[in-house]
Amino acid sequence: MNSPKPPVTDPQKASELIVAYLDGELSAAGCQELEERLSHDAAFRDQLNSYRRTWDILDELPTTMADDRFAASTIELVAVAASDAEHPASRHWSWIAHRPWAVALLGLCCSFLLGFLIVSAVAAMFGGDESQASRNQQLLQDLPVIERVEIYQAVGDIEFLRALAKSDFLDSLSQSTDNLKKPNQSSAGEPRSQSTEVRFASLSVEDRRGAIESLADFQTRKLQQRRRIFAGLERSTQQQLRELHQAIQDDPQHEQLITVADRYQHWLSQQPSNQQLAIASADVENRLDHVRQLAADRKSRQDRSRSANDLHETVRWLNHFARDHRREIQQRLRRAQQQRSGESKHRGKAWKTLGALGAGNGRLLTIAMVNAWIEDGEPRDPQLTKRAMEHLLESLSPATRREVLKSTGVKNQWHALVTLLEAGYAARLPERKRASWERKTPAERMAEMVQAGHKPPPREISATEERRLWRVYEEELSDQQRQELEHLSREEILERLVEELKPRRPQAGDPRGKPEFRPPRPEFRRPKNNPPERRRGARPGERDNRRGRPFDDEPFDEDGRSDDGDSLGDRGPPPRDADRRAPPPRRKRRPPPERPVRPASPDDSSTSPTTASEDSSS
Amino acid sequence: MAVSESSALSYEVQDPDVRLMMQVRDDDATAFETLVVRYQNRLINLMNHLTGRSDLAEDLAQEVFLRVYRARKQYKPGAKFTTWLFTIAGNVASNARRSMARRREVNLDGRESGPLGASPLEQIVLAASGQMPTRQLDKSETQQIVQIAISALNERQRMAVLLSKFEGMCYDDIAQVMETSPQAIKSLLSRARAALREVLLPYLEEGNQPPATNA
Repeated sequence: MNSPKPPVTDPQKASELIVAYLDGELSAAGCQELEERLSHDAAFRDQLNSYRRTWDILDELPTTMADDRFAASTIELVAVAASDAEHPASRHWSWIAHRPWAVALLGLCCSFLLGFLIVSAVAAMFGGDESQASRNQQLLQDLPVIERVEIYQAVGDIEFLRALAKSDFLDSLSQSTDNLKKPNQSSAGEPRSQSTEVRFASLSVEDRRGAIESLADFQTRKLQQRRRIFAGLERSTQQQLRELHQAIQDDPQHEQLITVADRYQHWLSQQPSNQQLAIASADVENRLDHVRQLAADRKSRQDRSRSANDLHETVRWLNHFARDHRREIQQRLRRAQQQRSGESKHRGKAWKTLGALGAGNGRLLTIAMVNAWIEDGEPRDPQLTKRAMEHLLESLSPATRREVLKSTGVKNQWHALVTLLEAGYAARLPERKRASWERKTPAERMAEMVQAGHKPPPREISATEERRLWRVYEEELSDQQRQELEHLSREEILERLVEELKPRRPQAGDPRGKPEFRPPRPEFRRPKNNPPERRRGARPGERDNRRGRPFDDEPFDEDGRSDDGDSLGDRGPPPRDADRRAPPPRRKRRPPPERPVRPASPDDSSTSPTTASEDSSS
Repeated sequence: MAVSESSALSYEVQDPDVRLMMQVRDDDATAFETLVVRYQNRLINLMNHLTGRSDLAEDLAQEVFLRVYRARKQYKPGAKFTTWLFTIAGNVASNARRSMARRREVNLDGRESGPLGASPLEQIVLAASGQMPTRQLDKSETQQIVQIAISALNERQRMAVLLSKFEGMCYDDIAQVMETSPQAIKSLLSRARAALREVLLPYLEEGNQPPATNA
C-alpha cells in the first residue's frame, strides 16, 4: 500500500516543482501530488501564484517587428554569400591536379614567389616597405569616410546637406507617415547607420587600428563591403567624399548634419534607381526641389492607395453589417415600396427590384441600407451603434481613424467618414468623371462608392519594391521587352513587372530545376492574338485581351471588374483621351548607376516583392 | 551528432519548417525566403532580449540567417527546426556579447547596455521603487521593470526563460538548444524564475498593499 510522500520542504526543490507544474512539465502523478498540497497549504499556493504572476508580466516585454526591408536585405546578403561560394578558388585550379607538369611549374613559381616575399619581408623589417605602410595609413585615415560612404555618396555636397538640414523636408516626411516610427530610424528609434557605426571619426588614427581589431564579425563584414565600395570609386570622387567629410566635421552643427545625411540617405535608398540618378544629376540648387517633388508624388500615391483601401474596408464591413440586419432593411424597403408605388411607376419598380434583390445581393442590400441612412440624415434603422462604429474604424488606416475620431458621436463620425471617403474617391477619379461626380446626389455617390469599393484595390507597391522593379526594368530586360512596356503608364509597367516576376514553380521534370536566388530574367509572354503593334493604337479604356485589363487607369477598371453597364455608376466607355496621361518616362539603356546598390547591408536593402506592402513610413 | 534515417524522416514529416529547410538545402530560394519571413520577428526579439541591444538585433538576426544558409548543405533533421535555429541564434548572441565585451562597450548605466552592464540588484530595486509613488502599473514603466528584471538574469537563465516563455519550448527542446540535460534546464528555469520573482513581485505588490502589511 502506498503511503503519502512527505511534502518537499527544500525551497529549491519546491520551487522546481512549482515551476515545472506551471510549465506543464510535471508528470500526472506529480501534478496530483502538488495539487493536493496546494489545496491545504496556503503559503505554497501563494508561492505558486507569485511565480505565475511574475511569469505573466513578462508578456509586457516590448516586441520588435522586423523592418519591412529585413527579409529582402537578408536574401540579398545570402545571395552575395551564394555568389561568393559559387566561385571558390579551388574550382579554378582543379584542372591542375591532373597535370603533373603544371604542378611542377606551379611549384617553381611558388618558390620564386616565396623567395620574393621573404626578401620583401626582410626589406620591410628594415623599413623598406613604405608603400604598404602608407596604404595602411591611408586606410586608417579614410575609415571615417569609408564608414559612411553610402551616406556621403547620397548627399554629395555640403551645401545641399546644409540646405536639407535647414529645410523641413525630412520632418515633413516623418510627420506624413501613419507609422510612428520615423522612416530613417531603426526599430530602436536611432538613426540606422549611427546605431551600429564605430564612429571612427571620433578616434585617433592609432585607436582606429585597435577598434578594427575588436570589431564583431558582422561589423567587419559591413566595413569590408563599404571599403570595396569606396575603393571602386574614382580617385576624384574619393577625394570629394573626403572633403565632404571634412566639411561636415568642421561644421559647428556636424552632429545634426550627420543625422540629416543619414536620414536622407535612407530615404533616397528607398527610391527607384532612376529617381536616385535623376536626383544625383540635378544641380545642387535644384536638387532639393526635385527631392520635394518626388516625395510629394509618392505621398500622393500612398494617399490614393490608402483611400482606396479604406473604401474597400468600409464597404466590406458595411456588407457584413447589412447582412446581419437584413430583415430590418427588407422591412424598410417594403415600406418604402408601398409609399412610393403611387408616386411614380418607374421609381416604384426600381424599389421593388431593389427589395427583391436585397435578400440575395449583398451590394444592393448595403446600398439600400446606406441610402436609408442618408435619407434619415443619420445611421439608424439599422442602428450603427458606438461599438459597431469602433469596430468599423478598427479596420481603417490610422490616418483615417484619427481624422474620424476628431468628431464626437456616432452620427458625426459616420458623416466624417463618408466625407473622407468621398473626397478620396473623387481624388482618384479621372478628370473627365469629376464633373458628373459633382452633380450626383449623396445617395448616388454612396451607391457608386459601394460598387467601386466592393473589390479590393490593387496591392500597393512599396517604395523599395518599386526601386527593385525599376532595377529589373533597366538592367535585366531586353530592348524589345522594354519597348513593349514603354507606352504603358508608370503604374501599368510596375504591375506588369510584378506579374511577370512572380515565381513560377518548375514543373516535374523541368530541367531548369529550382529557382535561383538571383531573380530570373523575365520572359514576357507574347499574346497569341494580340501582337504589341496593335496595342499602340489601342484606345484608352479598350480592353487588353492578354490580361483582361483595360488600358485606361480609372479606378473602377483598375480592379479588373467587367463593365456590366450598372446604372448606379457612371460607367460609360471612356472617351479617347490619349493626351490625358503623361507619356511614361522613356528609359535609356545606361550603365549601372555610379553609386552601386549595396546588396548585403541591412542599412540599405530592398523589399522583396513577396513582403507585405510598405506602410506609409517612407 | 549522428542522425538516423528514421528520426530524420520523422522530423521531416512532422515539422513543416524542417521540410522547408530540406528545400533550402537543395538551394530553393523561395523556401529560404519563407523561413526568413516566418522567423524574422522571433529572432529579432530573441536577439534584442538576449543582448539587450535593440540596435544590433536585426544585424544579429541576419547573421543567424546567413549561418543557416551556409550550413544548409550539412543540415540533417535531427531535431525540430526551431531547436537548430535557436542553437545557432544562441551562439551568435554569445559571440556578439563576447565581441562587445572585448570592445568594452559596457555602459555603466545598465539601462542602455542591458545585460552587458550587469545591474546590481540594489539598483534594480531602487529603480523599481523610484517609480512607486505613482503606484500605477503604467505600461511603459512595467516594460522597463520587466526589461530590468530580464537583464538581471545571467546569460543562460535569460536564454532559457526566453525560449520557454516566448517560444513555448519544452524542457527537452531547450536542453537541446542549450546542449544540456532537461533536469539542468528545470533547475535553471527554477532559479531564473525565482530571480524574476525577487525583482518583479515587490513591484507588482507594492501598488496594492502598503509596506506595513507586507512586513
